[in-house]
Amino acid sequence: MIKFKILFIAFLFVFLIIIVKLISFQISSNSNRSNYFRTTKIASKRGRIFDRNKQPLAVNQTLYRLAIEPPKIKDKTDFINKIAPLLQIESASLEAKIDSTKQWQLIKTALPKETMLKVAQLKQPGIIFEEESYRYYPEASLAAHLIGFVGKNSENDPVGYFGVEGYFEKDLSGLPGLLRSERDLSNNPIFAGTQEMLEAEDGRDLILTIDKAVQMIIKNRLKKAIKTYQAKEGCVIVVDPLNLEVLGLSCLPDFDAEQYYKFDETFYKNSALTNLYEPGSIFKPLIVAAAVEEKAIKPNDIYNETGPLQFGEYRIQTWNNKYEGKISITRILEKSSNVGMVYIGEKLGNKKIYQYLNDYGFGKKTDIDLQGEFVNQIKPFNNWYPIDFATVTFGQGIAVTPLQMVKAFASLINGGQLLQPHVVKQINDNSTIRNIQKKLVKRILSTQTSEVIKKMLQSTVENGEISWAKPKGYLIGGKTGTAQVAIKGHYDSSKTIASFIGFAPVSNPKFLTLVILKEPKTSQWGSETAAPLFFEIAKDLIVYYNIAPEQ
Amino acid sequence: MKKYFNYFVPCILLILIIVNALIIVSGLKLSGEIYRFEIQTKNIKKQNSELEKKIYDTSSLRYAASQAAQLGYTKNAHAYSLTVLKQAFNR
Repeated sequence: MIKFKILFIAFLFVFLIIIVKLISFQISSNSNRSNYFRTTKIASKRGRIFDRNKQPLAVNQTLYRLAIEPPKIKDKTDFINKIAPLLQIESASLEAKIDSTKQWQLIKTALPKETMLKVAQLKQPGIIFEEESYRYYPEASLAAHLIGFVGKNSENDPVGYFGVEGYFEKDLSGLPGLLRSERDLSNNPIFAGTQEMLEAEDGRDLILTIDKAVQMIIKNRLKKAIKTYQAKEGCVIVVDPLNLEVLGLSCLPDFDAEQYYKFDETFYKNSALTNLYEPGSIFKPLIVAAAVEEKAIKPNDIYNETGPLQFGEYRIQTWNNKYEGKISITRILEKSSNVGMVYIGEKLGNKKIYQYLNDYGFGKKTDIDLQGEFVNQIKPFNNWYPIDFATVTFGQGIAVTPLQMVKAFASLINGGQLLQPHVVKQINDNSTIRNIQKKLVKRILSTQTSEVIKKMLQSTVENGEISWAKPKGYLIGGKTGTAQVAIKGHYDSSKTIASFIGFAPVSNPKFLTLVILKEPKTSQWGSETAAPLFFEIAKDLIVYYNIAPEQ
Repeated sequence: MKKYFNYFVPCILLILIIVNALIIVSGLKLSGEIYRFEIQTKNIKKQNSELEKKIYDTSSLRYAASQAAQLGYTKNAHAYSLTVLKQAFNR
């Protein structure tokens, strides 16, 4: 009986120890709960980006990150000989990374599945693969500045920078989910345990106003033109002037969005939104339109172009220093007469010039839905000298961005509406579709003024100083511009920014295109560089949009 | 009565033990299945994204351009209607 009692007490003692230990595991020691409670962040799927025809521009792909556990690698030389060629890295750099004092070491990121499978087949111990979501651009860098890129922030989370990726970061990234689950040693969920899951909310898909065919046309043409005219850089913007949807925007040089880290930061900047330049003669129609609207002039009014004008120490002359005597206002635009524009400016008056500069949106952001827009302010009215009011009439002494120029010019041909440019047409999530409508900022001009200025611009293309290779039967309106580059307060006559802004068809414009070539070497004139590029693009767009001839 | 009770209690206990064991086993099975489905869903999503990428690749202008270059279609065809207006007006 005593033996039984001793045995009973011994069992009781052992059980007590087990119970105490269990209590310490379950209740007292919180840290141990983490041994079976797994809290995992469920990554949300980044929203995709499509063009206006639902063709993909930026989607997601799974790539692999290869890491090693150095202590598990037994034969270092064999490991290096087998792995290095597959990963296309130098044996020496791989060897340097195999540091047996470390438990974990990252070797390479963004491995494609094929490479991952090849490495996995070697069945080398100590290799770990981790999945990572990366952006994939089916059209490569076709619209790099518009789309931007996805990089990492300081916490190694993916973040969109520049373009649409940056501007719509919150919509695209979505919200990560959370999984809190009791798991056994084999990572199986414990059936009777806690299983809490907060589903991730995937990012919203964006449908852009961009047409990838238009984007392809302008990029290829621009690339060719930069080479032909030996320009430093170039930019082409195509918009629908009736709603200011951006149909295509290409500025070169650009960058590869997938390998953005290989490019200098200066390449990321979208010069259409950030580069300030003096627009030159493409600015003239804006002043003419303002003067027509204010009834200061009529298209058939006569101006006597006798010779250069003197403003104190400054001398204003025509581009070829030739003067035609009595000419109409339309002819002033046709021959791009600077002295004629000074006359129009005087008729309009300084206060009105200043008012219209503000009305056209200069000195303010266009508020386009792209990250990184930069503008400068127009100096206060009191700081303007008479020469400033004279030169601004032909687009000198004022700095604008190409996009500001497009926004203002569109109002001339769309019936006088100043619209906000936009790149995103639709935002979709699983349940809702949000359409982005055109946004009217202000009505600046009347429909009549708009019709008058359209005809003047058509006449400018038809009776300009140079006869371009225009498509037959189509009425196209436009204006050339050659602006000298200001360097340290003086103009360098050898360096110009050549531009052309035009639209077609004149009766019901389908597209408005601004072409800018910076410092072309073959000719400094916009009429000999930017204009031919515009007409090449216009021909392609006429065919693409199947626009019928008007004549 | 006491005799029946003595048999009844161990029987009930035995049944409870068996039922308990069955619940544990089926729980283990279910959790195994949950885990298997988690992996399967993940793999299907991955496959889906890989296939999606292939589709996007083959429908891209970049791919079309590379195919055109391979097949020798390198010259741009100019629209006839741009120079011959009769064609544009369908006359």
